[in-house]
Amino acid sequence: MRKISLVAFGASVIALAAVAGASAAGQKAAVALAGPSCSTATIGVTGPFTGPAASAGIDQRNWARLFVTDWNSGKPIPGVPAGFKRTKIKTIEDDTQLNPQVAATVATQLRSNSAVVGVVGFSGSQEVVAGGPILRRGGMVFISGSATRASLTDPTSSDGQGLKTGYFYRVVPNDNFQSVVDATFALKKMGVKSGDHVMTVDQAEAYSVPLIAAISAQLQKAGVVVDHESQPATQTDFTSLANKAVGEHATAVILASQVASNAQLFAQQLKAAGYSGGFLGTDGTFDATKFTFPGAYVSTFSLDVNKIPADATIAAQFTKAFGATNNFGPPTWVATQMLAMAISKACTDGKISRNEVRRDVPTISLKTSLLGHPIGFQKDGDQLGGVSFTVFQIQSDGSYKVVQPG
Amino acid sequence: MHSIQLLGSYFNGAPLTWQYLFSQLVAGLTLGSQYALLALGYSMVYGILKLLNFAHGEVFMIGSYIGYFVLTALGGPISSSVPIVLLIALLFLAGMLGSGLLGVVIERFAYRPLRRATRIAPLISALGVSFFLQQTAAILFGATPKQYNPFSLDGGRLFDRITIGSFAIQYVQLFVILFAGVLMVVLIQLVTRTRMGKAMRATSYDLEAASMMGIDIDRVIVFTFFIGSALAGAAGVMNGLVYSNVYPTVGFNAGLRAFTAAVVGGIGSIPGAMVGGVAIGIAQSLAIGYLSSGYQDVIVFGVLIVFMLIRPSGLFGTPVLQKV
Repeated sequence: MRKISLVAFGASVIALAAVAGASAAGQKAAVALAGPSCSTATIGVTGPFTGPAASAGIDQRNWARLFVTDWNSGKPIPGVPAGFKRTKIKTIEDDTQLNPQVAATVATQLRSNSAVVGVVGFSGSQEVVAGGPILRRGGMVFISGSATRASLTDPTSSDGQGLKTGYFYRVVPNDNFQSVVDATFALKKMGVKSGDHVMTVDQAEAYSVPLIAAISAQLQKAGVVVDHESQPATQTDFTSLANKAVGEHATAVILASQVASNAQLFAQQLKAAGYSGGFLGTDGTFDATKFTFPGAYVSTFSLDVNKIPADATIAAQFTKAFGATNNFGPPTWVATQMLAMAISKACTDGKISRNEVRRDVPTISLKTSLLGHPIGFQKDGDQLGGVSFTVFQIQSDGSYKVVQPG
Repeated sequence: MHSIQLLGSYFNGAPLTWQYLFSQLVAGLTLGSQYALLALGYSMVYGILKLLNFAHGEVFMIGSYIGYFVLTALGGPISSSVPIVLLIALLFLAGMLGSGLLGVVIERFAYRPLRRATRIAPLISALGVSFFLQQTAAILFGATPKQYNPFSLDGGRLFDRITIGSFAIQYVQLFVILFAGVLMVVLIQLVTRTRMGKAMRATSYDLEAASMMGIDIDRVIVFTFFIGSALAGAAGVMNGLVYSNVYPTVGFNAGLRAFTAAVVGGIGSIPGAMVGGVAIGIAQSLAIGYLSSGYQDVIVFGVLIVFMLIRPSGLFGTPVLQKV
């Protein structure tokens, strides 16, 4: 009897694992094994579709999906000239969980799939650092809708040397812009003065550490006393930090994180500890479903697409298909668009290769875009022009209101 | 509120006042109480089976999830269908019972068949169970954190502060510290004053001799797993009530620190696990409060290394003599 029950348990475990495996495999049923094709070109779309940043990643995935649907059906798309010949696009979606190791595995899979001619992603800067060099070695171009770490496009940095110029592009401004915007906002709008204390907190990973270092440096330049703290994102006990912020009479607390629920929790624990100063979260905390602490500020590279008149039809279409956007994903629409247009350009002779797509990406420029401004790339992969960060304030009903346009 | 000066004015940005020290000690005690409950499970199982149950952190995680699902089933934090006291009681009851049963199942299927195998076999099995539970939770509940949202419970009153003179403590902190204390006292009474407790001590002292004296070893081991896992479940619910987030890997970090606490206290020793848990929690909190949050793991695991070097048996452990 004992043996039978053990066997039954073992069989159940195997069955459960098999179901899980089948489910995961089912998501990748669309994996193309043939070579690149101009009849329907294949691209990878990566993002943290599960994990602590899933709400941001799912919004990105949904905007990419909507773009592909509209692109393939010939619907009008901001920035696409009339008569532009579109090559149909097929996507392979890969979940990176905001985890560099997973991103590297995904990059290896995409690289070895000869049908894939380009990638939308990665979402997190730490993922770009881990997975980017693998895609580069496969000759693949990749465009991010959210990775903002400045060193990614700096050819003199170790990140830039790993990625090399001409493979990585992004449609969002980098952290050099964000650090200036956030520090200036704290000084001008949050009442921080020279000699005041400000607590800045990173989450001990590639995105937040350099960003908080840059913000701290800006504040110190203005004579502010900065307490730079570092706490891993997996640790959600901010109580001791909250006590410290109260104890040192901090005028403001600035958190760089990719986990919006951490920003919510930290703000709540600060309030519970008796803190009454300002709270500012960086772009990774931008999520109107998870970070809803009234009075807190959030800076972001994205805009509220619902507030851009030209986007009304697309925004309504998105809401109908996926529900309300948290506005993290619209740049991913634009990243997908840049890649799709480069693919179409490469396909004018009926043939396509990774090298051709890579060659054509920097030649694409949009006079307008879903983000309400032109999009083009510099040689280093950064966005052309000085598009900056927008600062929102969270209202008592949890909605986000623009208090400083980008 | 006037600051009561301790030494000077500031140390590394932190004010040197008694109330600041008190607030950090309370934060550390709150955290340490959870580590202590978790460490008890490590210590009890090790005491009896000499097994490092690395799946114990995941039992904590499942307890936290059970609490979350009960909270959701009862209407969620904002519109709970039952009074707050009953709600919290139900969360703990379900979390402890569910985790306790999970512990029994783990023992039955993953450890008992390996009881006579080499020491390494159940250790590997424990690691396997740990990853199995983590991934199963990720598949079943998703990897996105679920939130207790305790700041909405009872209009956020759990986080109101009781002030005594210059010192303040939140209701939720007071509750966690007191409830953890009650659970530990109950455990000590159970171990020292009941027949089952006596059987547990006998089994811990010499498993084979206890068996020959007529003690039902299997029953004792199952009971030990149930109690240790139920305490982990209670710690899991506390984690949700204070720190809100529960996700598949939440037990990993907590488990690692609790294991450190058990070693520092003297693995196999119940008072050692309690003192070790509280000490690690306070060390972590003071490291953040007076040095920097970046140093917290350096301090916690530095303490572990120091103990390994100068007192490997921990605070309350007794050195084992090996006969040759």
